Amino acid sequence: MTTSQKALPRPFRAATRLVRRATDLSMVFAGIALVLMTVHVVADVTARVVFNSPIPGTLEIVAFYYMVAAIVFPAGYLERRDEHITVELFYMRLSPFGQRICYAFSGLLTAVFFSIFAYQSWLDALKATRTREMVMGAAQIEIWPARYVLPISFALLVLVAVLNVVRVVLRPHETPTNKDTTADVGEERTAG
Amino acid sequence: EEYAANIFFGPELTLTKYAYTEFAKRVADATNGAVSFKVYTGGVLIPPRASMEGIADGIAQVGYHAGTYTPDKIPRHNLISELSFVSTDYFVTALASTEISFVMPELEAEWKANGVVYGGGYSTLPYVLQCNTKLETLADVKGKRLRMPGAIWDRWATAMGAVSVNVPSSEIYTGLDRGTIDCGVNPAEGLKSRSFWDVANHVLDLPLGVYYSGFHWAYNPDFWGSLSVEQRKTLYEQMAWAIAKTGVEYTRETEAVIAQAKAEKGVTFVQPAPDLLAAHAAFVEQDSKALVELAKTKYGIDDAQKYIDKYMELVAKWEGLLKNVDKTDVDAIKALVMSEIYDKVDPATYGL
Amino acid sequence: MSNVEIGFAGLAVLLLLLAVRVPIAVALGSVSFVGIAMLTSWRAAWGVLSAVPFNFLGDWSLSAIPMFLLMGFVASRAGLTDGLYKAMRVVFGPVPGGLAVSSVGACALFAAASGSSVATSAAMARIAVPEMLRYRYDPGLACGVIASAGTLGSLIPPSILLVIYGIFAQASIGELFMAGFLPGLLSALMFAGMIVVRVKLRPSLAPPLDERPSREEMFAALSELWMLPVLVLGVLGGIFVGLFTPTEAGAVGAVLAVLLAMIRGTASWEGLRQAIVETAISSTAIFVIAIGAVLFMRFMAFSGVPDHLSAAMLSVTDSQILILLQVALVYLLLGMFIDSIGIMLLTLPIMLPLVGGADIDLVWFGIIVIKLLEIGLVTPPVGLNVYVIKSALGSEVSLTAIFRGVMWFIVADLITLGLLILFPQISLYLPSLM
Ligand code: NA
Ligand code: NA
Repeated sequence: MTTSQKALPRPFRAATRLVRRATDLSMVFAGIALVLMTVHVVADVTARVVFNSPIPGTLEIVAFYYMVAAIVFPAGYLERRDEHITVELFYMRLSPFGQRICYAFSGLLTAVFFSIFAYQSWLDALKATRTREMVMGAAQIEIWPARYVLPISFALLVLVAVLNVVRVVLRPHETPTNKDTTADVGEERTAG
Repeated sequence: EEYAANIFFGPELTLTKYAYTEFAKRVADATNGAVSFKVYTGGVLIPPRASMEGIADGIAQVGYHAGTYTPDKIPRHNLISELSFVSTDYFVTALASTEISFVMPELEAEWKANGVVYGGGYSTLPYVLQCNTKLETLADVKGKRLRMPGAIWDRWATAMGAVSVNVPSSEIYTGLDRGTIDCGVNPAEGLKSRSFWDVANHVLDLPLGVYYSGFHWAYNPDFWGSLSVEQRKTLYEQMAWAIAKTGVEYTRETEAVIAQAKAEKGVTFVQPAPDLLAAHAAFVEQDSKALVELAKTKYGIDDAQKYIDKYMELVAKWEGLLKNVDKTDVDAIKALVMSEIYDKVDPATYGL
Repeated sequence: MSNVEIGFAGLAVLLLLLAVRVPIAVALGSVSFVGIAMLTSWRAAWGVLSAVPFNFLGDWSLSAIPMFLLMGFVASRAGLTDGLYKAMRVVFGPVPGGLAVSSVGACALFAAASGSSVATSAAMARIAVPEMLRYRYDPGLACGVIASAGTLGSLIPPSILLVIYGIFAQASIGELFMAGFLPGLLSALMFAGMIVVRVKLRPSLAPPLDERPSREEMFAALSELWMLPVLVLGVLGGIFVGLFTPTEAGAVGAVLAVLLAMIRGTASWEGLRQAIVETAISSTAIFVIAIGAVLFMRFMAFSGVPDHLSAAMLSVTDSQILILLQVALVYLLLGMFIDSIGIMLLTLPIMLPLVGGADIDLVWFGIIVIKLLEIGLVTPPVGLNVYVIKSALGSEVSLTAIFRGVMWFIVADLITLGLLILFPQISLYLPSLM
């Protein structure tokens, strides 16, 4: 980042900082889910092998809580760090201008698609809350709270994507690269 | 026009073959191609858990749904499916569970609330324990790791002192092979259709309930409304035929599988010892008594007794009706299904 | 436009979106959403979006993937892989591409315990690839070998894909498992042979490891030699004796890796935190694509493109080989875009009657199908196994480089496939002993 560049507008910086904190936080949730998943599965295996009494509901809790949280919470963080898997083959051969156009276009499409996603999963979460959605296994477990992970995370992803597009517009001379797009807003540490 | 029909079992399974593949052909023929279903199997259109919502949303116009996936959405039907040990005769359970959905307004309302038009039910053949080790007495069962397909079976396992373990259905085969689990509980046809006879050489010859939760067919309301009265009548006819045909073929195929398992695969069918039988009988009695209370705590149903009574009544009715019917005569059974069930469902008004 | 035309137009749009660097997940998802709406109704398109993602993620079996990734990240962060690879440098020094060859062996071993190709690649990616890169292996080769050899996970028993095929085709799963063993071994040998030949021709792909480590270095390596084997054998052994299932094995492996790191004295909170963050990012990157892929499967189902391709390419003939070659062509084409389970669910109802008509052995056919689906896992543009490697390595290697590296392995796979078609005995010999 060259310092000679014009500073980013204040509201943009504030929004970026906010999004940065929110994505960091969602990453913490994902990390907790991963740890719990590991510990819970190993505890279940141990309880079964050693005491022949597995922990009821392990399968359902792992599937509907830990998996959903571990996989979906990082969505915004993924967008922020530009860690989506993409095909760079043609993009690499474009001019810097062409790259910026592509970057803005794909950012917009990402924002639109995940808005649709967030909206539908929000409706689903509300519906699941009304019926107190549950799964029936060895134990009967309510899973509706897990539904909210989707709209929250996808909405965050949309915010990040929109900010990224705005950034490309604000900084026409900067070639978008895959690095943390919030790194220059005045905070030091990244979660990664 | 071509419509979508969705069932998440594979194309070769009995529940798919007659009630979907054959059914679709017969409906197309009978309506001169006006109602033509393309059958999607294996969950290729809709994931199993969302089968009912998928029909309501119009992803498919007709589809199958395993009701225990959605206990919160159809609690009363789930309650009835908890009576799995009451009768283990395909025809009795398939027809009693079909009829009850049509005759009790509260049950009809459950389908309506979920945005589908109920078409008809089904049943599996009895579930049996398929094990990699011989179980005969109550002591044998104690402490064994059983992979159970649902809540009732979990309670059974607990009552017998066995352990119900977490294994997804795609891992039962490997689990039995490696000894992570001792038994799976499945209809006997699974010995062949899912190759369990390669890894489970001992079957406990004790019927452990059947599965009839959800529906074999429910329709998208818009689709249903777009049909003519005549076309709806045709669907009644073909569903009645498919219920009868599925039962006849299912029974025949299962008998063949059991014979082949014994003769060629060296599978032994073990008669349960008296102590195990007694424990089983005690469980069945105790469990059905506890059901009213369970309905309150588990499903939030306060008037459980009336559904239980009605189901029991219909089971008795169908046991009586089917007593003198040849269980291999598709036409005779179909005629009975028509006269007792579908003839009483007005195609001009039902589901609209 | 007819349905099939909409389907092909969707494929074209997908390629276009990928070319302008739209995230693969977004490209797959948005094409599917609009496509399904055009083919059916907007209501149904929203319905698919509602039905698929949450239920797809809420799957116990899939939990193996993040868990194995975590195991790999912990192991590589804590340096558990160092000792073994230092030692292998000595042992495999003379073999061209020795580390890549031994990685094929490691994948095959892992495949014998794991039932999933993606899980096999996920487990091996962090363990093997960075080591190969450290010894200046060509990135395409280093990544290609794990992406491709990972596909052995579904051929060498146990195999979730073979179980699904067995249930769909009503073929014996036991026989399928037996049948998959030799073809899996053959595939592994082909990969190894291909590596040796290529490196012999172009030694720069895998610089020879002739600089001998010093005595102290060797001694240090020896004391740590046991770390990785203990990890891998602990995981595999537990599955073999039935202590835990292949799904649970990932979590056990992750905990075991942490314990080993503590013994080695390289465990730190910071390292663990980083491993967890990396795991979360990688898993999410893979799973959003997987969600896109399952949406895309629905789009393809509605469009009828798989049926159309099958109908167009499968002429009725008595020649078994001709039928199998046609089937191979269909699967290779579909495999470029649709994931393996999806293809099977979409096409088997069409293929199976045809296969039955030509009197083709269902077990033999199953092995050929699985081999084809495995190739689809590494062909561009949609190749889940390649994405797994990419997500585990981040920006170290470009996707294009991995796909390029994989090409050679696809060539080896095609030769294997030819052998499997020409010599049914490779598949059917072991089951015939049952
Ligand atoms: Na395997
Ligand atoms: Na592919």
